[in-house]
Parts: sequence; C-alpha cells; structure tokens
Amino acid sequence: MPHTNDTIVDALAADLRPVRPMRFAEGMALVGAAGAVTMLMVAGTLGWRSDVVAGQFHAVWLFANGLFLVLGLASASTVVAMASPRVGQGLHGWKWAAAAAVLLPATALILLAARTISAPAEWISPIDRYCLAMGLGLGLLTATALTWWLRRGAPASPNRAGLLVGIASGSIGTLALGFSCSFDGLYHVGVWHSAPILVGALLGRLIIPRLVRW
Amino acid sequence: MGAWVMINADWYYTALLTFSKAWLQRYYARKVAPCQQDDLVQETLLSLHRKLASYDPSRPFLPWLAAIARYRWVDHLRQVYRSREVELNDSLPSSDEHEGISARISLDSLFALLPPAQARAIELVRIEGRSVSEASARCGQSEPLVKVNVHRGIKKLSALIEKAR
Repeated sequence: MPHTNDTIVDALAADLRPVRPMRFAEGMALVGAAGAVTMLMVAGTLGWRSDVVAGQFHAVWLFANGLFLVLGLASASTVVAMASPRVGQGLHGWKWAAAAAVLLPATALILLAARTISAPAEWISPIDRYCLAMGLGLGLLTATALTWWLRRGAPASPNRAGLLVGIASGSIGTLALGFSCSFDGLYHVGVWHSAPILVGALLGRLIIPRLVRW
Repeated sequence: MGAWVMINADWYYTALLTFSKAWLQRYYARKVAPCQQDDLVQETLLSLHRKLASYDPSRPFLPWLAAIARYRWVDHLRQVYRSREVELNDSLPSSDEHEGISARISLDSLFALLPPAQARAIELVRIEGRSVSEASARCGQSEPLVKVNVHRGIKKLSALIEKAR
C-alpha cells in the first residue's frame, strides 16, 4: 500500500529492528583479511621470493611495493569510509598516495627516455603480460570484499567508490604479486606492476557503480 | 525490561523520523518541484530506514541525513533527465507535464550557478539543439566562444552535481 508522508513514519517505526552499525575498524579488518588471504594464496601457489623470505630486499622492490601498500591502504580506507556517508566528509588522502605512486612509472619512463636505463628487449614481453593479468586476478578478492562492504552501506558517490575499489584491489593484487615476481628491473616493476592499478581503476569505474547503487 | 526498551526505541525512532521528515521537506523545497517533494521525502525516509547500519552513532546525525538526501536528489535528477531524454528520442508526447516543469526548475537552479554566457550557450546548443553557428548568431558570442562556454559550462555543472553527492 502506498504511504503518505504521515503514515510512512509510523510504518517505518513499526518496522524498526536492531542493526549492527558498520564500524570503520571492521571494514579495515575485512580488507586486511582479504589482503592476507591473497598473500597466502601467492605463497601457496606461486611461492614467495627467496631473497624476500630471507629478509634481503632489492631497492626497487622495496620502494615499489611500499608505494603499492600505501596506495592500497589509502584507497581501501577511503572506500570503507565512503560506505558511511556524511556531508563534509573530506576523503582526499588517497589522491596524494596516488600522486606518489605515479612517480614510479613516471621515473621509469623518464629514465628510459633519458637513456639512463637501457630499453627492454621487448616493450610488452610475456612476463609483462603475466604480471598485469596476475596483479588484476589477485586483486579480485579485495575487490569483492570492498564491493560487499559498499553494498551493505550507503555510498553517496558510486562512481568514485568504483574507481577507488579498482585502485585498492589493483594495488593489493600487484603488491601480493610482488612477493612472487623475481624481476626487479625499473621498467618492468614501474610500468607493468603499476598497470594492474590503472586497469583496475578503469574496470572498477565501469563495473562497480552499477553494483553499489541503492 | 526488553519490551520497555523496544517501546522507548520506537518512540525515539518516531521522533527522529518526524524530525527528519520536516528537515527533508525544507531541504527539497529549494531543489525540486512542489509536486515531487512528497515522493522524494518518502524515498529518502525509506533509504534512511534501509541504510541505518551505515550511520555511525559516534558522529552527528544531520551530516549523515544530508548525505543521503543529496544522493536521493541526484538520483532523482538523473531519473528525470533520463525519462526526458527517452521522451525526446522517441518523439513521444510527455505523459506528465509536471516532470518537464520539474526538470526545468532543477535545470534553472543549476544554471543560476553558471555565468550567464555559459548558461545561454548550453541552453542554445545542448537543450534547444541548435548548431554552434546558429547559437552564435542568436547570443552574439563568436563560434569558438560558444564552444568554449558549452565545454566549460558542462564541466562546471558536472562538478556541481558531483560535489552535491
């Protein structure tokens, strides 16, 4: 039966049921769990790099994966917060993390252009394509978790939420892949380990909004 | 004790919804046509009820309600414009004159936020469907200026709607 404004208040009050508030910490725990399972999947199926397991880190590896971790956390925390909207919610921190992460492929391309590093034998090698596909695939669990969280909540900017789900899942996927990929070249890591984030952002922007509209 | 708590919760919730309803009526009064206000208030109250879990009790209530109201308003605008587009594309007569009037009111309220030259250029090219040269002749702006004003105006409108979310 259609309600009038006078009856809808009574109808909704009569339908009141206890609900569990969505806590930010709970959302971040969900992202953490998705990330941890992804890392374990990499350990179980692809195996972690022996030098990383031994605590010996290559500079490019450490720098790149540090950036991916920061970007993944910044964008995932923004998505988690977006599920509980409010006017004046200044969620702009992820933009700085994204700007910092752009430095990685930018550095690789600038050094290539300046011939400070040598050009690769193949611009798009099979290992490049593999890392792009695996980075995207490994981000799926995080993307699913964040989408589920958003569907529970009330994201007021579905387009931006979709973009950020893509960035977060791409970052966490490529971070997990970094524990397995043994290539430390600046071109490969800078361009092809960053590519899942870019592609993830595009896919997230295209696909996620229609899943989280309410 | 449990029944007492539930009765009290019902009372508080009714008071909250009544307050929200009054606030929403004032909020939408400036944004949509009068004939659509009641529907939008109801939709927003239903959204509020369905999405209660997204409210963080440690934070103020009104910014949360305002975010939901904005979302429903933007969604409403999208639906109105989409139905308007379908009507134009299919050359169907408008089934509800109020929808068109409402779209016009919403559009006018957005146009009021643009510089007059941009609003005029968008109106001529994007709404009335005139060519750039026709629009240029009608509004006295040069053709490149019409293009620039349409581009900048649309960009600004998108930013305004995005900000309103």
